[in-house]
Amino acid sequence: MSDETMIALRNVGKRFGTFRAVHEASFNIRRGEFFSILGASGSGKTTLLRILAGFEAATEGEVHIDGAPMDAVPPHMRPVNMVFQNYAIFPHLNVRDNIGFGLRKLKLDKAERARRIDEMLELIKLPGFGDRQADQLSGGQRQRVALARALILRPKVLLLDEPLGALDKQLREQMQMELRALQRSVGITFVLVTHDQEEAMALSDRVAVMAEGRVLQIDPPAGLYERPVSRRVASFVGSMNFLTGRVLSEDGGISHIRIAEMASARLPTSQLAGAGRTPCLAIRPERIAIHAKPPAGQGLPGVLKDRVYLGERTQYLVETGAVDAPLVVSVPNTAADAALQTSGAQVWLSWDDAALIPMTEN
Amino acid sequence: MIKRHEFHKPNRALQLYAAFFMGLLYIPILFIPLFSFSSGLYIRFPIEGWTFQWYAQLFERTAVLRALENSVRVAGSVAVVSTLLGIFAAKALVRYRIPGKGPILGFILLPLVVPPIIFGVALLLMVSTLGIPLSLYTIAAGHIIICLPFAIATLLPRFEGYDAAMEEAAADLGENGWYVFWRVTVPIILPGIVASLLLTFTVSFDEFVMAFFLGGNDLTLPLYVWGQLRIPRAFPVVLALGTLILLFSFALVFLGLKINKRGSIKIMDRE
Ligand SMILES: Nc1ncnc2c1ncn2[C@@H]1O[C@H](COP(=O)(O)OP(=O)(O)OP(=O)(O)O)[C@@H](O)[C@H]1O
Ligand SMILES: [Mg+2]
Repeated sequence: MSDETMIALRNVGKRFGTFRAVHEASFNIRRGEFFSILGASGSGKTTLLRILAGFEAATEGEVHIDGAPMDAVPPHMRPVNMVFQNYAIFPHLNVRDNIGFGLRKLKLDKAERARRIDEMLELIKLPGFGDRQADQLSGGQRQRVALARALILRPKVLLLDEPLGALDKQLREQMQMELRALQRSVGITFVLVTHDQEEAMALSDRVAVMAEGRVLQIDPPAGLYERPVSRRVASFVGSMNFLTGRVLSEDGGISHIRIAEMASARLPTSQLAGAGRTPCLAIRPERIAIHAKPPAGQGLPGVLKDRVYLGERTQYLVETGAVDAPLVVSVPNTAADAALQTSGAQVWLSWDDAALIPMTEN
Repeated sequence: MIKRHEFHKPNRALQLYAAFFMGLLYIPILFIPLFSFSSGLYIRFPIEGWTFQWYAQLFERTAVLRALENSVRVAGSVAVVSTLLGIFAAKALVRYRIPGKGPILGFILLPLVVPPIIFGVALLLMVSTLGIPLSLYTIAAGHIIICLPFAIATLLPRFEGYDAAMEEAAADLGENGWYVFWRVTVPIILPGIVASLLLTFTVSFDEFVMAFFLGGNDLTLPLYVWGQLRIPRAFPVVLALGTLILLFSFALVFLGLKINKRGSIKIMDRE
């Protein structure tokens, strides 16, 4: 294990009876990293986080934090702190005492204790709120108090379970920025659980995508968006079109793939490892060009089904016969073509072969 | 004036029924305070005159004071023990996945409906088979059985009313099980604890049947009252004593209900 690794999971699994909530999770989280776990409801994100915090015992595999095995370490002895989904602010204590809750064991004198709490109140931008009762706080303020309460102990890792889930859109976006800035300034490893892909992309150094208890892919946001390995990951992150191709020939490290009747593509054979003879090729809506007249090179003909105006861009639905579902094409409105106004019109689609992403895993 | 919605209109029949019910329940009881101030020895109308002498006599009797002391000691320890047991039972029932939770709960609440006389006889049999002498301790043991369901029923909603994540948060912030309980669980359920203490104290303080079967030479207040009933001249004093017990019990129960209710409103506000 390298010195860079803060958390290491080896084949971690969790069963509730016969149900497997987490399945063979093996990955490392780096020191000082902002790491997100992204997945739909019920995919096992919270369970994984609770295994790290020590509230659930893994039924298989092992967890190391900062090099130490965590098997026999109860939650109150672990070098991690958690921000709970509903914040779990203690209702019988005011803001100061909530934030200072974990300081008891440090046996600080009164002045030092007060100084540290003031420092946290400053950090979360709530100075002067110390004497408020828990029920006199707004959602965003409760969230900040929960953060301060965990950070005051200077943990090695901060675990956050959908910390922004309860906030409205505007506040959520503001808190995202603050959370990111906070993580940079304190330098603590953050592990954040969310089902909001935009949030995961905006905040994280790396994102793990989970579905049905399995980790499907771990990559930086750009990698996840540009090179998803499977249909499930691809459809989770942004919107995506899927085409089915057939490998016709291989020549000098380049595979020639036919897509439908009218279109073909050339891709490096190395990218197709694991994709099979009839690879599934994904392409982002913004990487497809739409034309009212046949383009110079090859063009996939289709019929314009629908057109949705989305402000900065327009989205077209095109029926091609090459795939069952209509293809989604997204065009910035600066480039919108007046000839593409009427549905039912004949259109042609084209793309750069490099925009095609072979799905190498299921 | 704003016209009220139909549903909230006062219902005349229901009001009459409530008045009738309260009358049936409390008018007989009102005879006790009424005649405790009557100067005559016998219960009959018209009342001859008014006096405080029975109350004065009450406090001259050392036997009354001793019975009072016994009752307070029994009820006090019963309240503490059954509330403590109630806390652990309620916590276990709400927090842990226990197989057969429903039947267990039913079993725990059973003493509420089993006649105390059955329990009294059963316990007496057990105690005498084991050769344990009858005393205030055996009374207290019997009372704990009766009071435990009251304690659990009062405390269960407290535990159901707050999120288990509170306790996890405390553990996460570095506190072990005992400190989590002391610094988070107890303060949050405190209104329930106070209500349970008051309620179980009252139940034990007023209980007669178990005390009758399980008591030795030391009398509790209800046993003392029972004993005095056979002496006609002592009857007005018993009425005075009964009045005081009534007042005291009502006060405790009302206080308990009020504390518990205020606590739940506060907790609900916060959610
Ligand atoms: N204590 C438990 N007993 C049995 N099954 C459980 C338990 N906790 C979680 N599960 C199951 O494990 C699966 C994963 O749950 P988990 O809470 O980790 O999901 P999640 O990804 O956090 O979902 P959400 O986004 O809705 O919070 C779910 O199907 C859930 O029903
Ligand atoms: Mg969850």
